[in-house]
Amino acid sequence: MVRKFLHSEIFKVWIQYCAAMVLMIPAGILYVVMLRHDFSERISFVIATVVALSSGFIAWFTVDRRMRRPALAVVQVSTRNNIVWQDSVAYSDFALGNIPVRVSSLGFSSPITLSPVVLSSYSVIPAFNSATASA
Amino acid sequence: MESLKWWQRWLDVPIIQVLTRHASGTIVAVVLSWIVTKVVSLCVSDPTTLTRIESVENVVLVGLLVFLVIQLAAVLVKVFWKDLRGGWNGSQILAF
Repeated sequence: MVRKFLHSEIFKVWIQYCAAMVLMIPAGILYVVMLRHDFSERISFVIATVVALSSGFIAWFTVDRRMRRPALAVVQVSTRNNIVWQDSVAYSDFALGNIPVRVSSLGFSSPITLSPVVLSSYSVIPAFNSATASA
Repeated sequence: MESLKWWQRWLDVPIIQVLTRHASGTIVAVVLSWIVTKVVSLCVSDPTTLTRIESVENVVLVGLLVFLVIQLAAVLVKVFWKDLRGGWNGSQILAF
């Protein structure tokens, strides 16, 4: 259960926010330094907040790059009674657009698309859940 | 099939999952920042230094809250932009 949590998307977001918080501390120090040098309080706060936000985004994308790995979802295409086709699909939560999957089984071949929204419901990594799609 | 409780159905909605991640992430970071500030404050007795530590904490807290608002706005714009373009079905995002 702990391992599952450590690989979950929510843990990654928590780490991203904590990293952003740590990188915002220098902006707070900058605020104090500016106050000591007789800058206006309001201007110092605005500048420090802008610097804090910039640092936050740097932390956010750095952690995202480090922790990003493709998730895997097992996709089943089934008729009412039996599974026609099953395969794993690697995808990213940040994928834009639908994920094209070609279904080829039992003598027919048909392209289908799976929405990232549908797939991200199964985003446990490694996600050996089954997402059922109808061909 | 076992029926889900109302909150389980809400947690299954993708947009709720995304918003929950961001909100809980901010809460974790704010609590961590508060703990660090308190621990550092315990080691300091000079009132001027204490005031400075509080100023640093204020900037971090405001930064985190503005950061959260920007992130949520980005998520909502991304979702509804995709929805408008027909990529995602609104019912997939908001309904259950």
